[in-house]
Amino acid sequence: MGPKKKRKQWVTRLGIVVSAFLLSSLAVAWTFISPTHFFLLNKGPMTAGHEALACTSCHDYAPGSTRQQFQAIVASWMGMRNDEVDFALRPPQNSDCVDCHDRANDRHPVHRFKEPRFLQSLEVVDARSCMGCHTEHSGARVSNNGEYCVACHKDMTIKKDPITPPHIDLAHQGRWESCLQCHDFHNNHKYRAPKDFSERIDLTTVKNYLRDMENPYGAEKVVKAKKER
Amino acid sequence: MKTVIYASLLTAVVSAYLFVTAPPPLPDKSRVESRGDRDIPVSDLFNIVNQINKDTRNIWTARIVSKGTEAGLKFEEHWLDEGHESGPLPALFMRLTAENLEKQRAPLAVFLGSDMPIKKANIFQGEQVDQFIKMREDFKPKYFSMQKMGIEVGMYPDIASAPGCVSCHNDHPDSAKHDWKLNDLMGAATWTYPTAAISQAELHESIGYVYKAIARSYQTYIEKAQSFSTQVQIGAEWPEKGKMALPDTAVFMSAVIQATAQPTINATYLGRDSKK
Repeated sequence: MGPKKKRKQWVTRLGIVVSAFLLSSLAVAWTFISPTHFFLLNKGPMTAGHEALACTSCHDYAPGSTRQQFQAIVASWMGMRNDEVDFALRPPQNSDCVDCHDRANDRHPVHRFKEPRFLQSLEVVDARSCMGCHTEHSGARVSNNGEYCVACHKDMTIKKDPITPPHIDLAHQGRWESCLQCHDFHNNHKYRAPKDFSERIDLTTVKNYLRDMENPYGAEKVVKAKKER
Repeated sequence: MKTVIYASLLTAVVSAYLFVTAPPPLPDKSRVESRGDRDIPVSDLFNIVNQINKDTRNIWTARIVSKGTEAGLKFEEHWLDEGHESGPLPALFMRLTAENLEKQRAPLAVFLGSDMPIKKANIFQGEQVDQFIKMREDFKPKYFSMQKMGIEVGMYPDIASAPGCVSCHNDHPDSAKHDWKLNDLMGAATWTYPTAAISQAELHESIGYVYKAIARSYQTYIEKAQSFSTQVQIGAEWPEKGKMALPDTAVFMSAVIQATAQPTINATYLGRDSKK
């Protein structure tokens, strides 16, 4: 290839890069002109009950202007700063979830897992954050397999255990998949755990629930979530 | 040649946009953000808020739970369950306060635990076990760091100070110990904070979080009490035998502030220890 042709090819490539940059800048600008355009950033399907929510129902705006955020991201890429920079919207924090899902009767509120004694348990599941178990924009309700009870409940010795086989036997057998077949983790459904182990919920039904399918603990909630923060 | 010119121009435009005409950069979250110098050891904060919590718990136990029980009010473990017309026992009121700290996004947190709790979920593990063994010997607070969790910890003795503490824990079917006596060390209140030192602004803010958490917890109980089938008079009066009354949140908080203001001011501004 001659030097003229080579130069022409470079100019063409540069033109493509510049055009792509300008077009993507326009697309980004249009996305951020109005919060109603934020749906373009949606990574995937919302979990049941969240379908009608606006982005800003869960996400707060990230600090700074779009330009400041863009600059900080570039600075981060160039090794000039060490933190992760949020663009447009901030990932939700526990308090954003609790703003709608606040319940004084929660059996497993996230704040309890910030205590030092949960250090080892947190290696199995980071229960300090709602997102340690839950997921969003992914077509699933929960990101793990639902067998995390082992992290805290290894000692299942229970005085006057009401079920057969007793909890301690199930724990010794490593039957951690069976916990959610009888127990509602956050205890927010009007549901009573069966006393006969044979009456437990089918495992596939529980697994499907974790994948955001039908709720096996009953539709009636003890405390209903708010519709907006 | 043109290529070099175009590339240089593009680089210049992008650089000018990003850096030359840049607005002030966003603060780097990886660097410690602090308003003012962090020159106060976090143990000072723990001492202050633990004293506030302890005084509040005394008011809750003596003036609401004990006197309220004499008036006919109920306080129990399952107070939040449907159909239960009751209020939280002292340890559960403290848990409510802990929840209300979290809801304010406070970096400060508090927990109640023991080596012999009623609920196994509250048993100490790891470093807390070792620190509690030392506490059993001297009954003094313990301060330590948990680097893996990124927290500083202050543990304070939780003493059986009222007959109700002893009888309730001795009589509970799930209790790990049934021979508690008055003034026994029953457990510990554990406070945590992300940094070893704090600024004056952070100290003030954290104390504020605790007072607000107490007020919100009490308001939760008052809202429940308003739904009781037996009418409870809510206002300026405190409960006593023959008087089904509860102070409203403002009156309850006045009593809390009256009990806690002096030691808090001493510890915050005058550099003295809060009352032991």
